[in-house]
Amino acid sequence: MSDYKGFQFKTYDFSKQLDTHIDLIDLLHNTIGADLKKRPENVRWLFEPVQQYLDELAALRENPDKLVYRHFTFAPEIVYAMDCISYVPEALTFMMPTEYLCALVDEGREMDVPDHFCGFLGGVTAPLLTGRLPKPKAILHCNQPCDNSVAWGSVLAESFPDTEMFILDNPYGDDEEGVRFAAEQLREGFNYLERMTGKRLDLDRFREVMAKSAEAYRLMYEINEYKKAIPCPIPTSSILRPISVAFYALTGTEGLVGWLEKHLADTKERYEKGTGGWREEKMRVVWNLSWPIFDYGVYDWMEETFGAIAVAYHSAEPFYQPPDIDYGKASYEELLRALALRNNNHAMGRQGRGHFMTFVNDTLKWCREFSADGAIFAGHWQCQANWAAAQITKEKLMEELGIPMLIMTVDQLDPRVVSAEQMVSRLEPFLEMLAEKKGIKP
Amino acid sequence: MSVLERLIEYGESNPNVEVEEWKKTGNKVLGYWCSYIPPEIIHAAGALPYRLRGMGATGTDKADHDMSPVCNCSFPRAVLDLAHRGKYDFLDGILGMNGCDHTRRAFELWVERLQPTFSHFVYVPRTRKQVSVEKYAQELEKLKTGLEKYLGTEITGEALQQSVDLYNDNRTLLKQVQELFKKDRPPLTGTQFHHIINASVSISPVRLNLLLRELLEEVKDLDGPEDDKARLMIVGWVGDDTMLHRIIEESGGLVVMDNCCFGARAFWDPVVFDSKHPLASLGRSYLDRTGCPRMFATFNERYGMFQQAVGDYRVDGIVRTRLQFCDLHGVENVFFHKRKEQLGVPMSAPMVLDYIGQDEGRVRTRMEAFIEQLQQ
Repeated sequence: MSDYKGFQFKTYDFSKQLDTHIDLIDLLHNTIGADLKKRPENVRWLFEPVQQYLDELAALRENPDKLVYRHFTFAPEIVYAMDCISYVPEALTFMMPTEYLCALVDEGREMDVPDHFCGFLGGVTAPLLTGRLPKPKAILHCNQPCDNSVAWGSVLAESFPDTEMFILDNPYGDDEEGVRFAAEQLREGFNYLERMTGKRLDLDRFREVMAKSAEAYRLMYEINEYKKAIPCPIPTSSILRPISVAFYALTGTEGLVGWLEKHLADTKERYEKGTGGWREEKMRVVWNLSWPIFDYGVYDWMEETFGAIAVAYHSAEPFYQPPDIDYGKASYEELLRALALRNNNHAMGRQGRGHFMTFVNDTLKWCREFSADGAIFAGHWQCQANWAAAQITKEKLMEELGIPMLIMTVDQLDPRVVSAEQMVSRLEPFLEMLAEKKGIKP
Repeated sequence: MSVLERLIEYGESNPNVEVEEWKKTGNKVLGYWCSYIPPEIIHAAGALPYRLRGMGATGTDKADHDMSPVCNCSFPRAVLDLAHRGKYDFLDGILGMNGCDHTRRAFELWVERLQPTFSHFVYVPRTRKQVSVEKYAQELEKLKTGLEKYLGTEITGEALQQSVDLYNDNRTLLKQVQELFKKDRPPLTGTQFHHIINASVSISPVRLNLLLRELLEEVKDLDGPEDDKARLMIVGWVGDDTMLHRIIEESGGLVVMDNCCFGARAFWDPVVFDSKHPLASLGRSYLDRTGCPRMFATFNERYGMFQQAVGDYRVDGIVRTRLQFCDLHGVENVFFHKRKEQLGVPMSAPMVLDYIGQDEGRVRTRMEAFIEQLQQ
């Protein structure tokens, strides 16, 4: 039994009453943004997507008329195509210091926000309902991936009663009918944005955005091919935050394409040199669903103690295969279809909106393609639809690939639900079992 | 046995003797998950629509194998548990939909694990956009085709019209029973009415109309006991379990109105049917009715209903509830909190409930305290 007590996880002091009536965008831009800029030159590029998103939020001050609220699984390309600024309020929780997140969650609970609401959405409910977030010109919302998102839509409607919302009904099926249904609605979405922002859709701009989006996905698929190598040149855990920001918020932008090109070059170089991540790879796992944003030290512990590398992750894998069309000449209909496909295959949304077998099959695919020794289902305690797929996933993995899956509970953002130490106490016996199976000494 | 006793027995039993009688005629019984699956279509196909309920479950351990008690709601777990134990073997098929994440997954797991003879999923949009209404009509068309194929029958326009009329009569009569609670001394208790509502989704609509007419005739001139009970409205409760109603009424309250899944919301609005566009009009009517929280941003519609009810039914207090892990009803507690001064009647703090009722003692303490507070 290894001694994880010697390993330092983050500690938090929740005894202080923080002033949460502050400008959250300012807080993030000044603290996180400034911190990122201080990182050494050779690793700073890794954080560019986070910086890009923070800069876009900061630009809202000068361009309040461009502010469009967007649900985190509504494809951002639609907003970029309209030359607006895509603002995902719930993403603030993803970037803010944990103490602030927890204080905001508590403030929400005093307003009767259910105590089972995840930190992701629960953390910004209070600022929204008390008018501390900027008023949008338009709101794009959708019903994937979970009921919490539907409830979140009601919070938005309550917070901005005078702002008409556009709500996308995400389809259940993955067939062409589902794509057509989404495309028809996205057409209405553009009409809505034109009406609300007073801007006209420029077809060339839409073409450009979709071309960049397709390029981003092409690069990501290429990077993923290299990541299948042993040792994995870039463990997923080391870039979880930027890659998630990138694919949830920045697809369709030049900045993302530029970043992915650097990412690919770095991955390729490391692959060619046979370089792995920070530590020696002894086994590899697929990390499914949620990860502890409040403490990445869990991955360091896994790598250091067991040489267990998380090579694939639910929100960092590409699912969308952009249609093979000439984006420079594509018709509006073709672009709408591409956007609908992109939207239907949005990470999390794809697994949450439809039948549970999508979740099961995606997990099987990653485990197979990345030659995983085991899978870890870190179930965000609010992800009810995915939780109801966990047991079946576990059974199918064993039946088809002969590999085990650990099922455990986390809250992605709030360590008071499950701390890093508690996670480790669940991970340790599982990784010990994998190590024994592979004949590895931790 | 009086007609009231008979209806209560139907509501309490899962299944009830009416189902057994129906099966004896050789006709099929199809279970459906949510009120957004129109029973009119199932009935027009010659089958008995039977709304899935958790009544009779004493635990959820069989269902918990797949649906985690960490975050999955106890109501669908109770239903799924009954299915695993063979209590739903009398069904000839099941119909699921995306009512909420929990019931959607419970349906899928039922199909995966138990492989019923017939199953069909209806995708129901959560908005009323024209394109969504059209999509729902297409889904209803698929349901119709699926039923026709499975049951070897044709659902004619006349049959559908007839079923719509029958179910609209059900709704009208249930509303008349509801209105008895406007009286100072209603002849029924809220618990009894909740049983009747449960019966209404598990027996033939023809039979229900007969029983409700008879009941109304029997009780319309009666008065309930002379006591000073706190008149309460329940909001947020999802299940068919009458535990909450019973506890409230044993604690000195009277449930005069609700806004629950197995409650007034299910029968409040009649279906507006256009025989020229049968499925489109049926779909439009279902999406347009006073919405469930599964429909996006519809709280204000329900709130309007609450405001009206507070006056009409002289409500003394509102019992706010939600099942544990229910996001959709859960978030509405926030909106109530914001409006607590507007409604002009006290509201309980949100009461988080477990469907199986293992926490009856806690609920009783909370309800007794709330009612005492109202009576002071």
